[in-house]
Amino acid sequence: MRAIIEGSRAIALAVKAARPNVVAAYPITPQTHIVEDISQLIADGDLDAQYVKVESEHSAMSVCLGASATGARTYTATTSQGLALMHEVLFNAAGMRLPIVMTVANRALSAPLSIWNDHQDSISERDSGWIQIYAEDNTEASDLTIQAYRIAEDSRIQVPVMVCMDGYTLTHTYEPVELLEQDLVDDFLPPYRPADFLNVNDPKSFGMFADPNYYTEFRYQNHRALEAAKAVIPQISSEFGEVFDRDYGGLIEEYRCDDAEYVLIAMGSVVGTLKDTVDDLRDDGVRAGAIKLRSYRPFPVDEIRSALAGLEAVGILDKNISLGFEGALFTDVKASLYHDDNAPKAFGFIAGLGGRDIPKRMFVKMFDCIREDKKISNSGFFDLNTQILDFQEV
Amino acid sequence: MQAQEAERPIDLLASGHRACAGCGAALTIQAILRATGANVFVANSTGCMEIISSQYPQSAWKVPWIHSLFENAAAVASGIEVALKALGRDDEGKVVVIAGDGGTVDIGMQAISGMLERGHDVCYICYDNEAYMNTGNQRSGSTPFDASTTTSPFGKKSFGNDRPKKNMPAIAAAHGIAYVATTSVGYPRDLAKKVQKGIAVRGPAYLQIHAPCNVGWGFDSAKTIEIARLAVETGLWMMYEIVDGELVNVMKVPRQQPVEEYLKQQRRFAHLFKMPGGEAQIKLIQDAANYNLERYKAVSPVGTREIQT
Amino acid sequence: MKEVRIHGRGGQGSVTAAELLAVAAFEDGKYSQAFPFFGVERRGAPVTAFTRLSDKKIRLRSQIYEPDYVIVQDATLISAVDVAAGLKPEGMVIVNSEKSAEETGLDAGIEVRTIDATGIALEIIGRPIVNTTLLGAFAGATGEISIESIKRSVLARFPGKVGELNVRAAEKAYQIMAATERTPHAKPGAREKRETHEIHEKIGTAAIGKPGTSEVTKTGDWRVFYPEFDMEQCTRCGKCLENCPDAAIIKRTLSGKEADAARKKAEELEKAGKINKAAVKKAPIRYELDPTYCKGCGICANECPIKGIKMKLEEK
Repeated sequence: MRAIIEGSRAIALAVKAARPNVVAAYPITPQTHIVEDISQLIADGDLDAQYVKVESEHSAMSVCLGASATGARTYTATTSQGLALMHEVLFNAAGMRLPIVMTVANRALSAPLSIWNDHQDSISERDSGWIQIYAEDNTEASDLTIQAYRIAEDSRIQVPVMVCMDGYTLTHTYEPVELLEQDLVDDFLPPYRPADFLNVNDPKSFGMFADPNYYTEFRYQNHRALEAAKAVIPQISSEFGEVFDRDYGGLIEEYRCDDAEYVLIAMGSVVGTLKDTVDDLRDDGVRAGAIKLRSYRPFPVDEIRSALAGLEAVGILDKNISLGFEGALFTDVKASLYHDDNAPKAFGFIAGLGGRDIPKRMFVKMFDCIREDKKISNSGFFDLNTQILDFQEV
Repeated sequence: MQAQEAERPIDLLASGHRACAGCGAALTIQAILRATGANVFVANSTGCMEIISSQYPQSAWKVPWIHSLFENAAAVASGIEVALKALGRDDEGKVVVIAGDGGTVDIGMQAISGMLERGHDVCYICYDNEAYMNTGNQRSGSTPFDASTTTSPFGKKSFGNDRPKKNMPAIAAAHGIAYVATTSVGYPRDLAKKVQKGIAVRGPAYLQIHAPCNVGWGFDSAKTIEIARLAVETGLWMMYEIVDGELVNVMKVPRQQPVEEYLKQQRRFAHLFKMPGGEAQIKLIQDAANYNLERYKAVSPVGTREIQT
Repeated sequence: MKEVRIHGRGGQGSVTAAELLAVAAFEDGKYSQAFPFFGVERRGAPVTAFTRLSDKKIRLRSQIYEPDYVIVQDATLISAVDVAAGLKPEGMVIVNSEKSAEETGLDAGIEVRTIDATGIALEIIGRPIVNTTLLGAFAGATGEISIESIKRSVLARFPGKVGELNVRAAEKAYQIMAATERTPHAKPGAREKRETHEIHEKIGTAAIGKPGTSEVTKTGDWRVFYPEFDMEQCTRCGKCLENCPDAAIIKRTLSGKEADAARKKAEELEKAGKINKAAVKKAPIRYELDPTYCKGCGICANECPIKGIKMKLEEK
């Protein structure tokens, strides 16, 4: 069934369909509509869950951690500063292998303060041990929420999952969304039944410390679980497709890449604009293509390599920057190509920071750059207003 | 009594834990668990008691136990409590936090305040050994006046820690919770009674248990209980309950000991007996002890009189 | 370069010993380096510290795997830790023990020298703090460092009377060791490989532990003193058990013939006026030490209302 609703509403309904036992969240722009809608669903008796109105995001994640270890299915949502405040708990939840699912309504990090969208918040949690999947539209974000629980709770994985959706661009946008039928969700996502949970009849100890004889091995197992997710994410996606007739493919989505010479890689909602740009360029006879990176962690090295094989050039859009170096995706894509003799030329673009819009013409310019092998100026910052800069070149 | 082969104490904190010999905090946990019995979920903050009991794969805990981080034990406990409710398992046992003074009065304050204010059915127990002992005796908000720690050392220009202990029980009580109590490892029956009251309350309860640390405070390991009792007998550690906001059951100190009796046995106060001006400092501590005895007879538990230096 | 590994227990000053040794070597005009194995251990648990001595700048930062010398501060460690692991064929192990080298249980292929550092420390310093005594022994046994430098380094760290007592203890140990020649062993390096630290059990997905598994750690090894119970005078109040942080006191109720014998003995004591009638009734109840876990803190002895528990020096 299709309905026109706000993105945040779609997420709230997906959360309801997933039947979490415990929700713990702290309000922060632009995540607020999600947790407000969930609160209303609980208030109206449409969702039977404990909602903990915590005093901070640090506690939101900590409540989820305690509840998850007790055997509950848990949910939270946050963004930006809230995600940064969760930082140490994120690593802890992942290391304790607790299958918490969280929506990140992507937003820039302060300072200067910005409530608008980019990917700096979730990218900065790259090494937390969480699986990160980025949604292009609100139906995908909603569907991913259900799939995220299957991935996280899979006995081969047991790792928490972030579903990343662009703040405002998706969370506050009304568009038709394919709603999830509860009976189908119930078939697809059985109740959470962990092997180990806090229990007085079998009193185990959770969150022990590991000395140098053990720590490496736990880290290895955790790493391997994320690597295993490379196979599990597409499996669950295709299973989801069989039930709901919407299959998003695997870790990446290739768009008109078959005979492409030039490809741009991006994540999140901007991929829609990128696909439209590719269509325009194709109409003009340019063999352009697009790659939507869905799973940022685990990073799809093999998929990227095979998708880029034989191309002339590739551009990578980063709505983030590792200050002092370059965009995070640019680094990862280049590293993936390191062993390929005929790797395409790679161009890194930083754009769309702190809510700066990315229109089609900007993508056209990016394609121009990579087609004409232009030297990238301004450290890759693509949409820089150089007239207002007060920077002294050394 | 039934004749039986060997009767061990109810050691829900098993032998083989790595606490220092004579550890007041480990003894506190033995006493807490003896009072709660096995139907209890423990959320433990980072600290000595977590480290000495949970080196993978050896756990000293015989009750379900979780450690996450330093400052979030109250939030983790909140999560356990709501999960038990949501899963219909809330008759399984009570959720208890065990945390040190640093994890409680300093870094854990925000999460505790949230947990108390939200009314979770959690009994929060702070074992108060008056400094960051896990990291080697650094000053916390619960370190007493003039105690020399590694970050509040005495020296030519310092008598040690220049602030009195934070009044955490009053802060907890200000949340309007039904039960707040202070007790001491030196009084195991009082401790047991208060732990049992704390877990019997529906909703949040806060307990602070004075638990001497022979290594950090600098006294002979055999004297843990003796020192704990001296703290009470001098008036430096008050034992009371705050039930529904009312201060009740203040343990009377019939024959108050001079504070020197307590101070002189501990290395952390030894400088007060050697330094010029030390005598005046001891006088200040005596005044504070006297004031404690005076004010806890009064009705209002709130308000700290600062020690003037 | 010479490498020294020090095995001790938390609270015995192993790390301080390593540092003092490094400072002493520096006093001798050498390069040196001292560092602990950073653990989470508390008083009594096995700890390791390392010292390197060299004529050149030391760049190596790894732990010491093939020491020239090993100092064992506590002989009970020998059964728990492979103290001689990787010892060079011409290396030496110095053990704090009143026993002979042969009685330490170390392999015959190793040169072992023992010294009763606990005895010396108790006699001179008045406390069983053996680290400085053993440094004196090290200087005397190896000649790698001068006793004068050891003394200077000890006094710099512990000024005043404490330092002087430590220096005297070190001096005494030095004299004892220096008076005896080194006796290189017959068959260097011939020793069995011990595997005390091998881990065989598989780890779980997360670091989740099973209840009460700490009991494999025999903390009784940490003990210097142990409590001796006077069951004749014992009123069976249970305070010892209640106040044991390590759950190392066991209450046992005798039955059958054992109970009868206990009662009979108590009746005799009652007749002699040594105990009261109530005590006779309780005679079959015993409080016993669990030596596996008792750390020897002495709280039970301090809290016993009749002072019926005495702390005795553990023989090692």
